[in-house]
Amino acid sequence: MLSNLAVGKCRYGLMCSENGFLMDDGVVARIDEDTWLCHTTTGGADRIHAHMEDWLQCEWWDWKVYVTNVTEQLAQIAVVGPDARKVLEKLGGMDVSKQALPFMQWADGVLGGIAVRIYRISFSGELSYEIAVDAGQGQALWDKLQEAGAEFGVMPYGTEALHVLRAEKGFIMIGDETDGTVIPQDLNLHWAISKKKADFLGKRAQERSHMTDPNRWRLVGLETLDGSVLPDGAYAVAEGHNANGQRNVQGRVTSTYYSPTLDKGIAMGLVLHGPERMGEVIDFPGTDGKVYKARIVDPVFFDKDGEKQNV
Amino acid sequence: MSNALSALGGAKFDGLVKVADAGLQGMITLRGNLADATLQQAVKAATGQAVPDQRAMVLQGDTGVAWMSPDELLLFVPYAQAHACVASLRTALAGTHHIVENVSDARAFITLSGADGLVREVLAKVVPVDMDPQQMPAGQMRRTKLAQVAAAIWMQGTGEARVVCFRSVGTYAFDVLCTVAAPGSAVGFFAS
Repeated sequence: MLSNLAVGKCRYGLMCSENGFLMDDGVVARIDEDTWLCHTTTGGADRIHAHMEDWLQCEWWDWKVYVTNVTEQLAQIAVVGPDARKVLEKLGGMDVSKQALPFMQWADGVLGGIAVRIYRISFSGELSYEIAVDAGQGQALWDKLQEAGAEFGVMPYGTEALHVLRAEKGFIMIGDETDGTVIPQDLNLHWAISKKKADFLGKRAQERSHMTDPNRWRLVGLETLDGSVLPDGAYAVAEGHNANGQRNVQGRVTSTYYSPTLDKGIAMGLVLHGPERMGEVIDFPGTDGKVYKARIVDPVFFDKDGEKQNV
Repeated sequence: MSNALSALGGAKFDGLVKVADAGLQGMITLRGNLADATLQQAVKAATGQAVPDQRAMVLQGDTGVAWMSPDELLLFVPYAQAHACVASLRTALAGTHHIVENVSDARAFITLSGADGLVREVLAKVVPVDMDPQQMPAGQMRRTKLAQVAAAIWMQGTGEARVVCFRSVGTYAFDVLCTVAAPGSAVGFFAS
């Protein structure tokens, strides 16, 4: 629920389609009494903006709500890692201590001479500041961060590194753990679904029989017995064959990476009765002729209590 | 603000017409009830202009206003004043249902200049708009597609057009316009 989010704070939220399927996720910030800023998946901004306009124009035309897509106005730079705070303190101008700017809050200010809005939000589970600045000054802020961060070994990181970091934390990614057929409940995200709201898009759909079927495949972590990396998209086979003579299946890999932190392959997947089968080993035949044996484990491989992002 | 960069970094091209980065321009999205007197006064105070009719716009120097939709205007203000102008608009419109956002940096802004017929022709090659002077006089803005991206276009005057698109596709739009303005590619459809 975002109506009770206090001004200055942030909250993670899910967005579902009318049919209950998970279509996007992101962090929402309460800017003032009447204004919320909704982060979407990067490539999803146009689609989600259109989705909001569609509902506001066609169904809820009497609501007094306007939306504006401000994605292109802002350059947003994530400064992440145990030394992130030191880099920001070196630029100076804002109190970025845990007390002044705790996890899941935001603040406006001037950092290193540039007007910014800083969000204490994290995609990777580390101490993280996402700094939003007018796009025309994105390069200037980037250059200042590189310079101030040099003594701490700062380096740019791309989306592949981000994918690995979030997978170590068991954070889902729209487009990996979701494919248009997945509902939040499949991903054990019941905690993010409001029980207080009288209604929301997808609520009725999620109560339908096929959506509450305990046989829906659900999210688990997968750990190969030999430490190898599971092939992406591989299916877990079950006993017997189907009508086409193919092996029956009981799950599939949704994300799979080599984790440099843990020095082994880690993966997430959707598995039949998965969360009830912790410790069980299942087979994933690869297209390379090898049968990968993987143990069903908790999807959070690293920093289970989330202490690293809350410092 | 001295370190702010425009999306196109001062790019220029000289072909059938001149294609150039129009530089930093303050732009503000304002949504609300366009018939509301408080909103009309706020627009006047910010731009000196009345709320324009459907599809109409005015831009004098770096100040003006354009009609975007039945509940949305685009306000043009000097770049350095955009944030302050947003704050004044929010104060003026407090208690009136509205949204105001600075979108100056969300945009790439391009000028086409040269012979009027060729400026119209270059645009006509990549936008599904009738660029005939009778159909597309100065003071009318079209929100349309420029090749593969969304854009707004208008004739600023005889022999001068402006294009606004999103920042992230600014280079694409600029390059497309340079391609269709390549020397030797004139069709001569419109009288110059």
